[in-house]
Amino acid sequence: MLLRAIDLHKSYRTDDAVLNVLQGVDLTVDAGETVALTGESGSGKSTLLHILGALDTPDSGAVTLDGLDVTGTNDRGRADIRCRLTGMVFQQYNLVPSLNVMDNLRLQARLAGRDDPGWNNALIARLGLTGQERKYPEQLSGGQQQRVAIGRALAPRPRLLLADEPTGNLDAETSDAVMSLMLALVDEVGAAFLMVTHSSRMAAMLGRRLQLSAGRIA
Amino acid sequence: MIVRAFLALMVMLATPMVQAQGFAGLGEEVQGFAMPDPGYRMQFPRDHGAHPDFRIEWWYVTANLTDADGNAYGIQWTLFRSAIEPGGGEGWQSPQVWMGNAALTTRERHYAAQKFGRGDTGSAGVIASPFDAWIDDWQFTAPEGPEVGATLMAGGEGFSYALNLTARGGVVLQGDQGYSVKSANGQASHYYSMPFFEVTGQIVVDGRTVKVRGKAWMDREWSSQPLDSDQTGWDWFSLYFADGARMMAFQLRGDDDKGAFLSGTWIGPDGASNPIGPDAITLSPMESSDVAGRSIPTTWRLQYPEGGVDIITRPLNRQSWMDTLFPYWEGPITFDGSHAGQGYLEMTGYPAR
Amino acid sequence: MGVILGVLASHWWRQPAQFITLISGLAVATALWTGVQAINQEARTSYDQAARILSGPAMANLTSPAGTMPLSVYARLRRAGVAAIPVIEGRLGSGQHDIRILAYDFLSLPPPDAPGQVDDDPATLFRDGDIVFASPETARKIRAEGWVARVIETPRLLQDQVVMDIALGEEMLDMYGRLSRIMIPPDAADQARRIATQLTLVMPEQATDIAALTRSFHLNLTAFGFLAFAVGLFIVHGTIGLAFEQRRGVFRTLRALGTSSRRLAVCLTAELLTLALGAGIIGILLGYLIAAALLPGVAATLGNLYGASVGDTLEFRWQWAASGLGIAVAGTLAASAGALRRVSTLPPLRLHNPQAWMARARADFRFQSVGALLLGGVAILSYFFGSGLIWGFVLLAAVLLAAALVLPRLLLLLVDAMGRTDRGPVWGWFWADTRQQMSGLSLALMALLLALAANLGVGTMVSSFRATFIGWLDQRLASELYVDTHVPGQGAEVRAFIEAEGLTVLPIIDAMSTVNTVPTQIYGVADHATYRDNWPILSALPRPWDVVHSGQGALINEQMANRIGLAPGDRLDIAPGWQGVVAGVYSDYGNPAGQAILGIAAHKVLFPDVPETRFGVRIPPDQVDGLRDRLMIAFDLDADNFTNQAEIKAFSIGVFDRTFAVSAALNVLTLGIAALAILTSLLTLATFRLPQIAPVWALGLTRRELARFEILRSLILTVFTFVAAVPVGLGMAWILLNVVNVQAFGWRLPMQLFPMDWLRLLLFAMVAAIAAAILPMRRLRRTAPADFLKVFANDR
Repeated sequence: MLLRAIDLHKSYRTDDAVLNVLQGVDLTVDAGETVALTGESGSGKSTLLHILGALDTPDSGAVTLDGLDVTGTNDRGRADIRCRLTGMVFQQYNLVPSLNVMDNLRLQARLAGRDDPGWNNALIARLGLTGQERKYPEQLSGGQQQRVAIGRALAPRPRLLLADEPTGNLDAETSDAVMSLMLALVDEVGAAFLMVTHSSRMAAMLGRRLQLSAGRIA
Repeated sequence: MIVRAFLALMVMLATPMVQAQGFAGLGEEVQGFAMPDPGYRMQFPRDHGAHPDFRIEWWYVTANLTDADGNAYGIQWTLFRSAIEPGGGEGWQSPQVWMGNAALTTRERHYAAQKFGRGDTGSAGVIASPFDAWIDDWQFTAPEGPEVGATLMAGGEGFSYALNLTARGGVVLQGDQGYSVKSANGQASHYYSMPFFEVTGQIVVDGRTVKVRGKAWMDREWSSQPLDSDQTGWDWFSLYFADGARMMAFQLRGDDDKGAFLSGTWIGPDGASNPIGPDAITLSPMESSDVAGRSIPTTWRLQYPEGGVDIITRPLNRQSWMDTLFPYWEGPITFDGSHAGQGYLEMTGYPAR
Repeated sequence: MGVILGVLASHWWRQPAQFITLISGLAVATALWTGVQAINQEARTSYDQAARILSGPAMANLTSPAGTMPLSVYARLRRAGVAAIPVIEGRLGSGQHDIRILAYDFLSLPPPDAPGQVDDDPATLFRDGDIVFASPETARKIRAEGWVARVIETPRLLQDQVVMDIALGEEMLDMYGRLSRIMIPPDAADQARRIATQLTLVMPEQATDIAALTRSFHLNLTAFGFLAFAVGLFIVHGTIGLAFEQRRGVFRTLRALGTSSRRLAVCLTAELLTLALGAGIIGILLGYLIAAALLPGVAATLGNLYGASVGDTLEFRWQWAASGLGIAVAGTLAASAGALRRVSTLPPLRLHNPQAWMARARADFRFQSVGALLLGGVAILSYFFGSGLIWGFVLLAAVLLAAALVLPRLLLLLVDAMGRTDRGPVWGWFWADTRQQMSGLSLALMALLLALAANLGVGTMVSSFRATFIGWLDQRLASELYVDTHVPGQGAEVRAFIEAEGLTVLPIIDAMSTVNTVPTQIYGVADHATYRDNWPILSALPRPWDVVHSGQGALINEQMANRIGLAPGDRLDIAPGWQGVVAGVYSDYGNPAGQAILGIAAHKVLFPDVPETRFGVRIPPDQVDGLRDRLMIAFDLDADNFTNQAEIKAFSIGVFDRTFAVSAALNVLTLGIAALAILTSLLTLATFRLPQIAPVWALGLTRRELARFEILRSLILTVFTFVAAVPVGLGMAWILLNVVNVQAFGWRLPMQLFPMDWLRLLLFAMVAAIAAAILPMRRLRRTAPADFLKVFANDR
């Protein structure tokens, strides 16, 4: 068992109400497993993903990743987990605009101290970015940018790849290509894969499907 | 004596020349100045006054004093005149430079001060008659002439003195009728002394006023080039013997390969003087003291066989150092041996280590 | 660390304009600060040196009402045991190229800089009779003038000053047997007073102290330096704020990829320190250049206003270099403290939130208003309760800063008001868009306000001063020709000669005295309509000249009135034997010392020894040359003996203009920085304005129209700011003229308004605004439509 979440609660305070987003989420993901996390808009999918990825903290409950206590550690500990154990792919790619493709791709691996030029080049090739290494993000199409972001997440060979609507900004054809590429690479790296999506078609491509509704896993 | 007075020259002449040109440049070449003349006959009061055509000149008084408790003191009062060129000139334009040195020595401490004056601006000078020698507020005055008596005043940081001098004898001409030879090459000066003053008065040491009495000795000397170029310094003694006799002796130290030039005068209690030739005295340093970073012989053996004199002199204060523009050692001494008595010792030209 | 620093640096690499903005803003700010510091320090070192040359520890001085004293006084002092040091002073040459001679006894006080020589033997310094000491510049000058003396170059000596032994000075100045003054150790003052009863003893604290006199001037410069730095800091704050803003996404990404907040903050601090040090070093070099360029002007100012000599070559000193670097680093850190704190405390996901930024900007405005109110309170307190020069500057600073802080709010109100005027949708968008940009531009606009206000304020002060000064010259120099025979005996003959031509001759005599322990020049003037009609009297008893010529009163200058606290009608002791009333107070600009005027009869009774050698002659201007020629031939006089009114006026005005050249230069530099601030703000704003402009473009405005709006906005904001700056600048001028000047110089000046100068400044500001807008505008005009489209494709 790679990832385990126990009784996660999280609520947001807005101007006039308290929004209880997570109300006791329990889940586990095994190593190498691929899991889709679906739910309606505003059901708290992204919040859950951020907590699992050590980007955010729950109000209560616990997360363990690869035996490490994610929720019990401090900012520095969470940063370390993000850096070495997880890879994250966002809907908006979040590339560094002032770095070129190759430097963006290597960024997390370098932060984690696992920069591997051979693997970086392999990723570039596998992601179909050969010849684009020295371009800057603004010179790429959306699909290309997302592939750079996927490469960046996988370059340090994380134990868990997290993705938040990675194909949300892409057309169907590109989405499928990006999706199969991600699955193939996850398999190659041996990482588990947890993906937030609202698309049943995408969810169907993964091994298991978790439905979040009313703040719990259905 | 001359010797000490050489110091005056220093004012005008640069020390870097010390090695080659004697202490304080006293061995430098002379241009345009009057030269000492063996045929010159002194007249008084005229010669109590200044001789501006000679390059250097001094009025020099030392006194050995004791207080009611028997403590010994020494004082020094000196006015040097040094001419940049011969002759006069008004105010600042005058080439004459004046320097005063004053000191007071106790067993524990030696106090010294110096003053400077320029030309005939009125801040320093000497008038032959009525006799007055002064620099700023230091004064050596004798309205009826030093042959009768004088008053002496000076002071500085931590000390001052005001003394009455009464003459018990007259002028003693040194050397040959006042022509005093300083080297084998014939360098010379005009030199006379008045060694018979009785002293009463008071001194102030660190704010404490002390009544004192004792004996004083005045030296007067003027010249233009009193040292030979290879003479580096001198040791000068003035001595009072118990029977009222006085003695003056000096040696001018030459280069190592050349011996010292010695000379002196035996002065009987009646003032009759008897010159002592270069070979008739021996001066031997017996013990040196560490003074101002130099090794200075403060204990001496003085032998004058013809007079039956063989004595050892010891200083009242080994650290009688004049830390003035041209530094030297000057202080009261006592002696014993064949005779006992007291006196003054001056030593110049001992290099710093 | 290295990876993160690399990522941070890559931003500057991709945004060189922003990088240059940051570096140049910081460098220029540091440069002005450093330059001013360097000038101040150079001047102060000169004063210190001047004080050391003369006396070491402060000495009292014996001076004579007659100007000189006989040597016998010196001998009397010496024989009484006073360690007196005789001094002869004087000038050689003519006009502004005078060589000032300072001669004293080298034997009692060693020469200024003779290492080795003095210790060994002071006599070597005067036995040759012609050794003098001078600064290298002055040494060159006197060698060129053919002095035969051996000149020892002494870098620390004042310019145009030559120090020599008293014997040589006596000869060169022909002052045989006389002394100018005698220096006395202060502890011997009582003794000296008893001995020299005829002389005036001036204790050191009463003596005119150059350093004290010029303190106000340096404070002035320092204030300017601070102002410049504050303006620069606005730029830096703005640039750093924008750089942080633009990199929010990068910060978030770095955090998401596993960088702790602490590590990010450390890296950002390291980056800022590196930038600050780099820019600081550039700034110090620039500051050195500025100081070197301005120093001759400052030296001229100090010489003209206070008679203080400052060399015009600059030495590099670590003190001001260190202060420059320190202030660059401190300024950068201060400017970025807020942004740094936010980065290090916010959770990673909330780093990128434009709405939060806008909310903060609004909070800033609120904060600024509170700050402005507080500063207003400080201003009021310092005006009513503060006294002294420092408080004058506190008042000035408080008013300026309060105005700057209140400006954004004021502009916002204006923009909102304009937005409510319904002129169609495009204008509606324009005002709304302007409002949105206000937060990004507010710092630059505040900088502009400060620069404009300072410019208006200092400009008004200088122009008021100049106008008053010229009017005063006309009054003061009423006679067309002034003759000075220099030789006492010749005076009467010359006077008779001129009177024989049927012309009016007005004798002028003067002597020094001590009034209230301050050395004061006492003039005696004739009873003539020239004075009654023209003399620049500020306040007086009725018929003041009648009081003066009856011998019962004196006129005094404004400086003396202020210093002693005298008003017309008050009692006044001018010298032993004369008591009277203050008949009136007159203006006497540019003179730091006290001055009084008596009727010539009273003056002659009081100072019987002062000869009549100077005369004013009333003569038609076209006959001046003829009379001068006749006098030259008849009395063997030369040009030195005459002063032509027209010439001296031209000379004085020239001196005046040179005096304030430094203020003008600093003014232009400050304005330049403000223009740079606007340019850089617009440039950086333009880089992320695309998303705001794209929808408008999509709705049908051409790029050309959009560009025109950009320029218009820049112009409108500049003009608004200018309008706000006018009252602030006039307030500043008022404070300068009525508070600071009175404290610093001792005279009050009437304020005059110069609207043409304002207009010129407005035009300059508008040109700067257009220039600042033109670069971003050109970029906008060249933006490809595809880039606009991308906004819609990619936006978040």
